[in-house]
Amino acid sequence: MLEPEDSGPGPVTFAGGVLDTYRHVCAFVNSKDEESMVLDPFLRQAVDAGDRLLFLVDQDRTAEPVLRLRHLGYDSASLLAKHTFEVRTWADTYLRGGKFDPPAMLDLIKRLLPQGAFPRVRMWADMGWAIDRLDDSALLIEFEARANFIHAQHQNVVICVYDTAKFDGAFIVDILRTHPMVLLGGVLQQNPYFVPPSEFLHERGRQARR
Amino acid sequence: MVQAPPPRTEQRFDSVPDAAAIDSRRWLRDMGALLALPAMWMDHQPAEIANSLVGVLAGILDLRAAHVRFEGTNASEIVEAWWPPADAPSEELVAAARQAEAAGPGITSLTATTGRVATRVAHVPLQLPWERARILVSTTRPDFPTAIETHLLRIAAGQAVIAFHTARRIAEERNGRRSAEAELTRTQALIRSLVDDIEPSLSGVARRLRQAVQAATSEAHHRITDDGDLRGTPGSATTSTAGPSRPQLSRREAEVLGLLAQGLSNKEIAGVLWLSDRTVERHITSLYRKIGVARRSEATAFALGHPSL
Repeated sequence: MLEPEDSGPGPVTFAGGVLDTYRHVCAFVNSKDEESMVLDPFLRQAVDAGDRLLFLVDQDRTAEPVLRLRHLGYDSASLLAKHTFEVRTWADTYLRGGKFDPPAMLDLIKRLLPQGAFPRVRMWADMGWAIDRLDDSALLIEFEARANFIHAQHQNVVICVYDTAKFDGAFIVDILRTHPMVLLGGVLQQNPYFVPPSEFLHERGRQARR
Repeated sequence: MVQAPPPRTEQRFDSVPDAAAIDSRRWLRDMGALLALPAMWMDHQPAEIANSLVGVLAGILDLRAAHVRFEGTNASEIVEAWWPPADAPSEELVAAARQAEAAGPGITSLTATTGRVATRVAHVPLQLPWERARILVSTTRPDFPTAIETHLLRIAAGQAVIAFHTARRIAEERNGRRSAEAELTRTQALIRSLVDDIEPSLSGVARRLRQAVQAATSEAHHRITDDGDLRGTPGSATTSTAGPSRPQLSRREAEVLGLLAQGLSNKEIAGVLWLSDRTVERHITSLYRKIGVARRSEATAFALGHPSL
């Protein structure tokens, strides 16, 4: 009898594109409506596929993903109880201990998105915590670049959501360079501006030494 | 039944073919060379094609002199070349050209005498909608041009015109692409400079707006507190306990109140905070007592009136 080949979980579709080779996405959104348009199908597909949903959000908006799932007709309480759906706040993740600590956050990311995780994790990270934190901009850009090394080792999906209206243009450009996939104008595409993390970090190191 | 093989024809390298056969082979070879010229001239400029043509004709027809002139649809597309290489065509060709033009269309041949040398000159005009061409060739052979030589001249003129046409169209496309690329580069530079100009001011405006919103929010909060509009005793859903009467909620109670006010059920709150349902119920009972409310709606109203909690 032939055993089916274990090829891992299938690719995830998101905003009209496929997340296969690269699953680290930079989602630029301009409004809640635009966010909902891509988030709702993503949530439906995740629950229907039995994937695990992980949200990193503002403490004041912890309930939003729960209400969103409920609005889509899912039993949020049951999903939460089964731990196939989890909401973590910025205070528990990016700003644990009151400040952004990239090495600690990279360790946490490794634990939250383990290699060979089953079910597969779909992480939706609202990056609004970095708004007006100019001192953390450089740290965050390097963090995003380094996170690619971790994301290359697992099959989980990571969507980093940035509100373009609330971040500085130069910062957005650097963020663009650290994500292999980009959601722009509601459409997912392979990011032509992506710079491989080793090259990106080398270049930044060279600039810092000047 | 096995058939006998045909008798072998012995190849003889020492036999001399007759002159007519040699001539035929030579003309065939020359004609093949002329027909292959456009392929050889691929990617050549019109001037290079013209120079190549006079050289080829001089070699094939054993010429004394040659001159070619091609005119495209506009005046800037005139190309001339002559052989042997010199600053200007020979006098005999210039004189012959005047006589040939007077002779009208079609291939004409005439005898020109320069000094004591008599030469035969052939004039090949070619008129196409997109190109006019003229080929003048001269030699001292009195029978020039023979019928085959006339035929070769026609082929050469036709092939040169095809090559010219192709070269000109390719040059036009290349120039068009270059100008489009230059225009694109100019546009990109313009957009870059616009972005460079606008980006700092937009970022500045956004920063000032955020500061203004923060300042306005802070001012409004102070005004409400100072006026005491929302200040009151615990138990009133629309009153504030800022100051000495502020209820002392634990961190967990504050978190539960926040989620409750955002519309989550007890089970959902338990799931989000990784607590049991019983623990959530206990926190709710405790916080209701502390803020002096009895219903979920009152607790929600209290939380909305106390965002700092």
